[in-house]
Amino acid sequence: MPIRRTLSCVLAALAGPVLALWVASVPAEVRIGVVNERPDRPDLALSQYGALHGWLEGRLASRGIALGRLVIAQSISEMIDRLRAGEVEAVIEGVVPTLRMEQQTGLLSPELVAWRKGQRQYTSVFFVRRDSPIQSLSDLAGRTIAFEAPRSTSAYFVPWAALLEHGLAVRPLADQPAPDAVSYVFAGSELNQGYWVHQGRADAGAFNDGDWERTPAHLRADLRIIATTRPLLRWLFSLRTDLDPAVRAAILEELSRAHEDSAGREALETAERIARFEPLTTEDREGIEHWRHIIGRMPEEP
Amino acid sequence: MTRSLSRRVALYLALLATGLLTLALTVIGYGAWRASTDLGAQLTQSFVEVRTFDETDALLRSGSYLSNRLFNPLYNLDVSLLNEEIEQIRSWLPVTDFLILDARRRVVTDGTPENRRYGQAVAIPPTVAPGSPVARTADNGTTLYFSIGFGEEIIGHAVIGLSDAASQRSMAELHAHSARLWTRLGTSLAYTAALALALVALVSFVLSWWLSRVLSRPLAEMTSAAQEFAAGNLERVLAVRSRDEVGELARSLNQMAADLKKSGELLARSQEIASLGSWEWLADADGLHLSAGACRVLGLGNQELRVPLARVLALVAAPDQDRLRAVFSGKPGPRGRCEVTLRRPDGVMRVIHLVGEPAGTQTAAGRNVGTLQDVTERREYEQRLRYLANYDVLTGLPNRNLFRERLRQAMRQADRHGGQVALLFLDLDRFKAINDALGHVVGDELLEAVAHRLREIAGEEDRVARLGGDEFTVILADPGSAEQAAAVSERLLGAIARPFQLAGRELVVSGSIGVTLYPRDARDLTALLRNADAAMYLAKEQGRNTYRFFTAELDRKAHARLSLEHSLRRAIARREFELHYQPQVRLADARMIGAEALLRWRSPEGLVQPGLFVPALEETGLITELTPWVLAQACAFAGACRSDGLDGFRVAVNLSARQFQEARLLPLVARVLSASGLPPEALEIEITESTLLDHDQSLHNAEGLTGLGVRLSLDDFGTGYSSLAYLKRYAVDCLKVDRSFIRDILVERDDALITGAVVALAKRLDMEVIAEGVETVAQLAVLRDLGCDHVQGHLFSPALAPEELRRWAQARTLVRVA
Repeated sequence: MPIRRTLSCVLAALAGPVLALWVASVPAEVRIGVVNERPDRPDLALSQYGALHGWLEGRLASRGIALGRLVIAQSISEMIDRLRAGEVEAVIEGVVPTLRMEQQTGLLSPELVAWRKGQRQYTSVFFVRRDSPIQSLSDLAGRTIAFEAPRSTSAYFVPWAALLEHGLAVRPLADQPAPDAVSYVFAGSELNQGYWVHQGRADAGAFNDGDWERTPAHLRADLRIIATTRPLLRWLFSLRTDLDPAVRAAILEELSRAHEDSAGREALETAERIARFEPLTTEDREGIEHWRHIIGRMPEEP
Repeated sequence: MTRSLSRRVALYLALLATGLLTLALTVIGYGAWRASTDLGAQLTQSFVEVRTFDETDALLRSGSYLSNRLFNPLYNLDVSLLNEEIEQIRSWLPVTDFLILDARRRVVTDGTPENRRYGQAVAIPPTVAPGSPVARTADNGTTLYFSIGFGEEIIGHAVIGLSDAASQRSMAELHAHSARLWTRLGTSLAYTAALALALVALVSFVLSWWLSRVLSRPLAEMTSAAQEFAAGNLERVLAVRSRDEVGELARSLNQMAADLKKSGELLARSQEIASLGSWEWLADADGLHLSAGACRVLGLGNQELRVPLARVLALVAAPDQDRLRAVFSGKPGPRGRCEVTLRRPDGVMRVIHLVGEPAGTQTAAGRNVGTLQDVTERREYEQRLRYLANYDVLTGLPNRNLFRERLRQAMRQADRHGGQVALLFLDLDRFKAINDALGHVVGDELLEAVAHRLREIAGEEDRVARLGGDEFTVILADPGSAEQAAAVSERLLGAIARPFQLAGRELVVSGSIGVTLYPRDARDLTALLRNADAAMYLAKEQGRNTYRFFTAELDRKAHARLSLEHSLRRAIARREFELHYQPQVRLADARMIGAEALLRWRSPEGLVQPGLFVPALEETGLITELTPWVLAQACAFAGACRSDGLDGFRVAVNLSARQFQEARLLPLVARVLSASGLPPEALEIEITESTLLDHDQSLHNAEGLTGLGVRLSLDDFGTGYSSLAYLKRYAVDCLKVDRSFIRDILVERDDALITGAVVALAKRLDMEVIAEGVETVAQLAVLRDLGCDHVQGHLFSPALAPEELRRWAQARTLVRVA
């Protein structure tokens, strides 16, 4: 046993540095990945994040860190594959997709929260026509609700999760709404959700509170909120867990200070109206942990 | 002033150029404005029409496309996508409004996030149908209506408001561009005008400077020069800087100044020569302004002077001062004149002629101008002329003119007092011979001396006169009696007869006097003078050195001589003269060698002897009128004789002194010889010795005749001066012994000696000798003994008519042959 222990110690001694080297490997270049919000517009992501990528590339270069080309994935699953393949070192994405990629790869760690479209965090609201008899989530059983899109966090995943938490079954709309569940359809956009509810194509809709504010006033006047969800951070910047600490620190530092110079602010604004990046607070991490728990209970694909 | 000329010309040109420039710019500007305005309107119209047409057409054709494109979003009520589509279409078209309606024609979206028209109903034209869009034109653009559907299923409509703002902007831009162009053009025109005006100003300045240089300055110089010329400074010479009119003017001014100077010098010189000067009298100063010429005349120097009138008046005697002052002050009238004698400051007396008249208009009193001239020499000359007209220069005696006046006065006086006048006509005897022999100088001295003695005898100077030559007259008027005349005549003859000492020799002369009495012998002056002349000739005829009174017989002879002269003139006109020929015979063989032509007058009363008319012909000079005829007749006759076989026949023609002294003689002889064909040696001209004496034309003719080959013969040799020098000097061919020697050659030993000497002289000088007047055989024998070559005379034949002589010659030839 002593031999085994000794051998184990030797192996452990040898394995430590090797593992450390393996875990904290330094890539030839750091690659940032984004998921294109519009698969039909491949250039959208590039137009959104190109400026920020370029700015960061310049900043990191002065630190001796090379920034690789922007990796644009057409879906979360693709991004997961790229993470697994080691082709991506950082990801900018919403909370739910980030946590899903985290859970499925074990290689991602949320690091920064972004002020996006004027919001650091948001809640999703459930709305119906003002003249609708629906008063609460419970009244939605046997009704149809309009979500935005399968990828949407605030207008699909979060309300879906809230409905589930509320004990309602949620299914895609078949020919007829299921009497015991809430049938959902995708309107394609938050704006469409409002019109669909107003036009009667759906009985209710759900999106984040910012979208509610952006809904045309006269349309909004004909609608009514029946429920709101728990707050959710607006947008996250995550890094691979095995990224070199110095590189990690350098990237986080640059992004956290990006709003301090004009070029950085302009690049942030282009990237989906981001105002700044901030490190995650404890409260933020608690919230993330909450949603990590919910996602853990969710089926793979809503 | 001349400076302003160039400025004025430059200013006029500048104003003209500015005016033309302004006009041109205005026309250009107006034309450009008009063209741009018209073009802008046309462009606007065309643009609107074309654009409206194009857009409407495009919209109509795009309606179906848009319908299909909007179908799915509308069907799905995908407002976001509809908005994106609207936004996309807005990027393509100038959309002002874009409404998408549902099937109930209510607004689904207007493309904006607010979508304020959401739910509003919108009217759609009834003609709108699938595939049939409708476009309607409104004030602010075009509205396109089309249906959204698939096949015949209509799910909604679209209303698109298309703005013509782009067109309006284009039009506005076009107008703005046009305005900018117009503004730029205006600015350019303004700059052009400013630049042109500056250029005009510069050109005007340069032109002014140039005109000043080429015109004004020369004109100013010429004006100054002209003023100097007017002031009398003619020395200035203008510079001729150009070859144009200005240069020509300067050159002309210089020429004018030179001419003025020359004229002035000529005038001054003329005044100096004419001893002329001008003056100006000024009443206020009572002074005279005298020209240089006037000063010279008055002996006051050679420069112009202003002198008090009194200074000039002091030069003349007191009686003339008033006349002089009157002329200077213009008192005699408009044109006063006077002549005064003054004593110049240098003491010389001069006669001055003064003329004066008021200066300017006659009413302008107070200033007179005039001339004064030294006429001393003229007056002396006039006096001399008067003297020469009335007095004989040589003797100082009254001449024929004054004599006639004096005689006329004496005749009138005699008529008044019942008295009479005796006229003595004196002519020196043989004065011509003295004159010829001793020369004119001695002759003139003799005449002076004679005049002096006559004046001494006659007493009063004007009683004696010289009519010419050696002819003198004496008028005796008180008492003018015959006795007084006789006494004075004797005294005069006595005075003349006293020897004269002239030229270192003693000269004794005499005179002949004719006396006539008025009114006894004649009542008119001419007749009286003719009478005295006739009486004088009578005295000469009767021995000279005496005096004779005019008689009735003399009067008759005088009339006869006048009648003869008249008859001779008529005879010449009627060709009543003819030539007779006296044969000349050679002693050696008694052969006729020629003949002497002798003039005969066959008057209506019969043949007149030469002694009766030849002297009259010579005296009156009518003889010269006969010379051509005589020579022609003689030569023609000689030619005829030669044709008759008289070989060597020659004809001798006598020419008097008057005839021989004619300048036409030589050409006349040459012409006659040529006409007759007679050889020159067949013609012999006979002249007397005196003809050759001291007469240049005679000597010239003698030499000329010899040169022609004509023979020259001296007639009456031995009776005159018989100058051997002439024989030597002229090629005399023949000496003719005067008949007076031949006549008594048998009884007068001297005549025979003289004849012999003449013959010997001729032989020695290689001349021929011919004796005339041979009438007897004894005379012929003596002459043959003396060696005489030829003879003529009645012994052989008197003068014969031409035909008679030819017959005589033929008969004589026959006799000698027989």
